[in-house]
Amino acid sequence: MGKGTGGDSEKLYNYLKKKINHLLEVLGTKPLNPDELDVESILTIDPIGIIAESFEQILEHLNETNEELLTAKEEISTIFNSVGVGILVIDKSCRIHSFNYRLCEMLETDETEIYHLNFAEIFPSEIKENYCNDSFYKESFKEFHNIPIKNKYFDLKIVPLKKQQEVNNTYIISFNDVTDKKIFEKELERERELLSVTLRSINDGVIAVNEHCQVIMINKTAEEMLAVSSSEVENVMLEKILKFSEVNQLPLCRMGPKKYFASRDYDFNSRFCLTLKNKKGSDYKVDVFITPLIDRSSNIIGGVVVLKDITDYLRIQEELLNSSKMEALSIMARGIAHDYNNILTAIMSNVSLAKMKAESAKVEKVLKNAENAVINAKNLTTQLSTFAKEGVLAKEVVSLKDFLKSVCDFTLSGSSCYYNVICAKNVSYVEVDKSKLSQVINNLLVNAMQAMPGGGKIGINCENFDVDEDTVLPLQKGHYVKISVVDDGKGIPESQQNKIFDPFFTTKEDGTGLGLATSYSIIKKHGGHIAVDSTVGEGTAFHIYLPAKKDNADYKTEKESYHIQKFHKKVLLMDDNESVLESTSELLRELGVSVDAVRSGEKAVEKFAEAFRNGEPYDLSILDITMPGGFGGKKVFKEITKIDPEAKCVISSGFTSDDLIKNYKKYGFYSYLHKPYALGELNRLLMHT
Amino acid sequence: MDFENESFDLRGQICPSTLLTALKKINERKTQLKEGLILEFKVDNRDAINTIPESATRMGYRFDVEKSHGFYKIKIYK
Repeated sequence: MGKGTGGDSEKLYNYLKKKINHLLEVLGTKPLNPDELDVESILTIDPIGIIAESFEQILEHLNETNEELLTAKEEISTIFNSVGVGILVIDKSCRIHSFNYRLCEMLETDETEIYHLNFAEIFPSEIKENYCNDSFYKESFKEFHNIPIKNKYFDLKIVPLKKQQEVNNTYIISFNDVTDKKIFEKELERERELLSVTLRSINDGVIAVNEHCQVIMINKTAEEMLAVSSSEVENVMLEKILKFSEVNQLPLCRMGPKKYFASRDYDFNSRFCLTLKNKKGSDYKVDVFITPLIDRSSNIIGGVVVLKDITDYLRIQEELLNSSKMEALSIMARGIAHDYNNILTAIMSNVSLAKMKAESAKVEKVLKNAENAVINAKNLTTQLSTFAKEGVLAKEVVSLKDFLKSVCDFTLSGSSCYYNVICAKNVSYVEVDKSKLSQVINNLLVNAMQAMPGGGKIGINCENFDVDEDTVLPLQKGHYVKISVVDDGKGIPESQQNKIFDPFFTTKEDGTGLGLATSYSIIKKHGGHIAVDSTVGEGTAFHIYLPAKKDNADYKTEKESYHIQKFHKKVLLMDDNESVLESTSELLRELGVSVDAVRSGEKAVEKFAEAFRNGEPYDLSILDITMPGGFGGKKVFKEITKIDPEAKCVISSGFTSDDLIKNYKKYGFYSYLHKPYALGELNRLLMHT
Repeated sequence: MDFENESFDLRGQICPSTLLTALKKINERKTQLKEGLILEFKVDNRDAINTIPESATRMGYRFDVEKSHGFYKIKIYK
């Protein structure tokens, strides 16, 4: 086509030129140069054809992209609804744009309801303030934890939606339900608390170590035992905090938990006895038990070390050993006391007889001395039999002044201490087991002596004491006798005063810790009370309260009733010991009594029956408790009462601890006699028969 | 499929003819490009390093531009 060949062609050419340049502009390039704009060039270059074909490809590519987008949208929607978290798309004014199904499930609501939920009210204000704040857009997201919504707990993550860097006022909030986690955490917390309380309350030391043998946990008892605090021992090697005399004794420390628990050295029941050092640096013994700490996959991740202080246990063991020795000794003492008593009885009777028959005052005085020596020997036997068995109480009415004096004499003789017994006038009589009470007084006197190593005065005071309802003493209302043993020794610290009556409590190197405990139990058995009052540096007073015997007049002491009379009575005397029989018979005859002495149970029954048959029954039968062949006082009594149910029988023994002696009335006996028999005792017995 | 990658020297040409030439080559080889062919154009005007990659991208192709001594190499591929 030539230039300027006509108006229409010109128009068409200009039109094409314009449109070609438009198309080139759409492609983003420059218009054609003027030299390229002749018809020839246009046809050669074929810009329209090239552009059309390019557009075809562009269109093809757009279609492909669209399809991909559609697929992606599908995928995103599927993901949106299938993820584990709840998703909410919301704008600044809390208008809901979209949400996923999981959110409906989490909030327990359905699709229509969710639009009616007022999220502005549901969310805590801090969240709304945060996401409505314009500055929020500068951040990529914000997280909130443990937000309570509809009885549940959620972790929230709020992400502002940005399109091409522009603010869109839309937010994507993801919800993660952490209710279970929260409950679990609470349970865990509770369990931890329980565990820690349990560990705290355990009386043994508990230490947990990790696989490197470093301390990860230590309880209160262990802290005290090792004199450390949990903060300072955390992650410290176990061997460093156990002040072992020999650290290597514990293979756990030497080998480490992994090797140790897998080794042959370890046994579930294995136990170590170690010597540790306490705060003061002195040694104490502990039992150590070790158990492995195992995780879920059965890996050894450490160990638990339990320390048990066995100091007390060992001491009790020792005491038990001691007490079994005591038991053996007491059996021996019993045996000796029995035989010894029989001998004493013979001596006593003969001395008494000799005294009665003495012609000069000089001889009588010598014999009186001999009699006193026998009385002392009798006291010693009483002590021996007391030691032999604590047993039951053989109570008798006692006048305290003489009694206390005699105990003091006995205990304090030869010591550097002196004593002073002060008894108030009209002090009531008490009904006590003399041997037991003397044991108590003896204990207190020994304590007082030891409190005053350089010697000193021990005051023994005795007075009546009335207890009324307002008393602070653990005693019932009534009349009591108060015996105080007072020293001015070193005193007892206040912290120890409430422990001194505990068994095995002692401050003495060689003490058994049994003295005051025994005293306490003896006084309690008497219905009384014992208390201490002490000031360090000033001295100590022990107060004993014993129930007073109501009527003083009825009880006369031995001395007062000692009027020798002549009795015209008939007595049967049974004893297996020849010398006892002989001397006692002599003594009785001296009192005007006609005596039949027998050496066996069978003989006794035979004699009794014979006398009864002849119409000359015995006024009294004195029967020894122990006889060879088992035919003792008790059995003889049974036989005798078969013959004469009214027969008056007296049981006799060298031991006050025998049940038969203590409860002689219960067994039907008229009275009892304690060997060796003193003339006075026989005298009194016959007087009342 | 293996192709002998083709290279065209468009140096000395200016826009829009550089772009039109490049587009023509791309259009002619669109099947081969889909199968992995890489076309290389050597150009020396700065406009072309924008217009050729831009148009190629819209058509669904990818590109690399590499500066050489006094010219650019534009690689076009699917």
